[in-house]
Amino acid sequence: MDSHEQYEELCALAASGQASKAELTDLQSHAEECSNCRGLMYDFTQVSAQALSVLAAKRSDFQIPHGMTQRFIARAHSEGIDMTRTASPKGMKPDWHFPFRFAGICTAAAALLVVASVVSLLIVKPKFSGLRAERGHIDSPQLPTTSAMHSESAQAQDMHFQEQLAAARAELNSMAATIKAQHAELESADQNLSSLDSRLAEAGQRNADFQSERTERETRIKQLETELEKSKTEKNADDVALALQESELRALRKQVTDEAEALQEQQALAARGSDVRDLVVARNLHIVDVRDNENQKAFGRIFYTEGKSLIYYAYDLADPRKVDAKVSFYVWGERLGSEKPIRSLGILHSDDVSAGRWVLTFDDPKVLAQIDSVFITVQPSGKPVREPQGPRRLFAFLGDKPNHP
Amino acid sequence: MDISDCALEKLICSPSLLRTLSDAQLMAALRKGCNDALAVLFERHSALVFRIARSIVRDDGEAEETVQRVFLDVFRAAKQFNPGRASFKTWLLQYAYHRSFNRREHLHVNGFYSSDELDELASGELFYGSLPAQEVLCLVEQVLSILDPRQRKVIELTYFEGWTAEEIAGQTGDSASSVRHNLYRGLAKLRSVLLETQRVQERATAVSKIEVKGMPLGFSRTV
Repeated sequence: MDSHEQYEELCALAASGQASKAELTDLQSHAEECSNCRGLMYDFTQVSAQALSVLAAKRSDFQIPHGMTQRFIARAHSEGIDMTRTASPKGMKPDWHFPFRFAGICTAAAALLVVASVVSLLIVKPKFSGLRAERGHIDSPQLPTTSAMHSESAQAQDMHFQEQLAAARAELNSMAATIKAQHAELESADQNLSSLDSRLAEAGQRNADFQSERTERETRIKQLETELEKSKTEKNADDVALALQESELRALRKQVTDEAEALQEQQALAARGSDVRDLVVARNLHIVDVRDNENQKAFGRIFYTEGKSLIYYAYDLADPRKVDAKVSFYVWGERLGSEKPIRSLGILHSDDVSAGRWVLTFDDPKVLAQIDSVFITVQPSGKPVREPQGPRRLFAFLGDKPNHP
Repeated sequence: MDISDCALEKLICSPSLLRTLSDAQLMAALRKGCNDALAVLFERHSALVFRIARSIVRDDGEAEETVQRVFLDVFRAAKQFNPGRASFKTWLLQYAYHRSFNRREHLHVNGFYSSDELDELASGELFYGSLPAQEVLCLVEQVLSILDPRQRKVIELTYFEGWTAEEIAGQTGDSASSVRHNLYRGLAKLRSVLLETQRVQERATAVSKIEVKGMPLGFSRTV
């Protein structure tokens, strides 16, 4: 690398901030004499400042410090540069009335643009003409042919500008009046907004109260639902217990019924056993067998204990499958040769259907003392029977001596 | 309500109207004594200046201090600004870049970039002419992508991360002198591409002007 190329490299390093203090001093003294390096240094600085650093800024994610503009305005104030604090929109508080004010601002801006065009011709243009002269870009004015023509033209132009200015001012006054009216509307809208804010706050409070009440009610409903669920569970348990108890009760009732029936049977058996015992041990027992003259199949057996009881068993009085419920078999007693009336001893009851057996037990000693024979008649059922009707069947005489023992 | 000339000037200097003006118009307003124009310029460009300063000084507070100093100096040198030579943004970035390096201690002590340079910059022009800024950025990105990887890395670490040559050498394992040479070669390539593009653009513009001039009446062409 030759000497000049070293300085070229130094130009690049200086432009990128990578040159040392000694190198910069060396480069400065060289550049004073070398226009090529001065140009190169300038080019590298522009590449760095205008392209690479802007690219770096685009790619960076550095956060802009909050309030930087406000701090700058404050510092500018402190250094004697007066600026209105509203110069930066970022320094302003959020404006809730923006939509209302925006119309006014737009109107004012439109008015200003109209006026600015006129003002630029009357005021600004002459002042900027000096700047143009500095830059060497002076416009080529048309040279007037005579001074009179120039004067007339200037007066005419002046008149024209005056008219334009007057028209612009009139328009601006009109727009100012509009702005004032819109300002009044804005104030009215502000008041309405305040009222609405107040109502909104009240509504919000009411809503909060409703929400609170609703929450309480929902809590209470949940409590009640829990209690109801608990009660249902308990009721189900009670229903089950009740069903069990009813089942047990039915079983107990059946058991009682069965036991009662068994007891009745035992009592009946005991009674029969007692009757049989009485018969077996009776001293004056008549056992009489009789046959029916008309129905050779039918027969009877009478156990008669004098002055005490009479048991009449009748067999095959009728076909058990054809027993007519419309008729009953009555047993009658009488004393033969006496005029005493015939006594009814009762109706034979079916004792054993499969055996074709009927039975009557009679134990009235007074009646037994008044009779010495018995017989059976077939009488219609359902009618009061006072005396025997129809043929006498299975007649037995009891007036003989006891044949047992 | 009657509007006086004084009131008219106040209205022109109102913040809402100022924000509709171009940078050059704002500088003109600033020279006429409308200080609020400075606030609008600050609002418009301070973020970019801050990011540039931040990548160089690598400290938020130092970067904000640099931003404030840049715009205060812009206010004081407003009369030196010549919109016919360079745009306000070009002028501002050049100065912001110098200012940021001045915040680095050794440059500050050395005074390599004097604060008076703002006046000199006011008359400076871009060496690559009037290429649109966005086009220049695209071009630089394209050149970066085709650079030798070592050159590209050195440029990125220098400009995007704010590293010194020694820091880059420590990170890449190259010597500091190699890093510096790569930086030089990369910047030289960028400069030559921009110059060549500018030349091509100028030739194309000249040809278009000739063609338009030679067209029959009644025809027009966008140049």
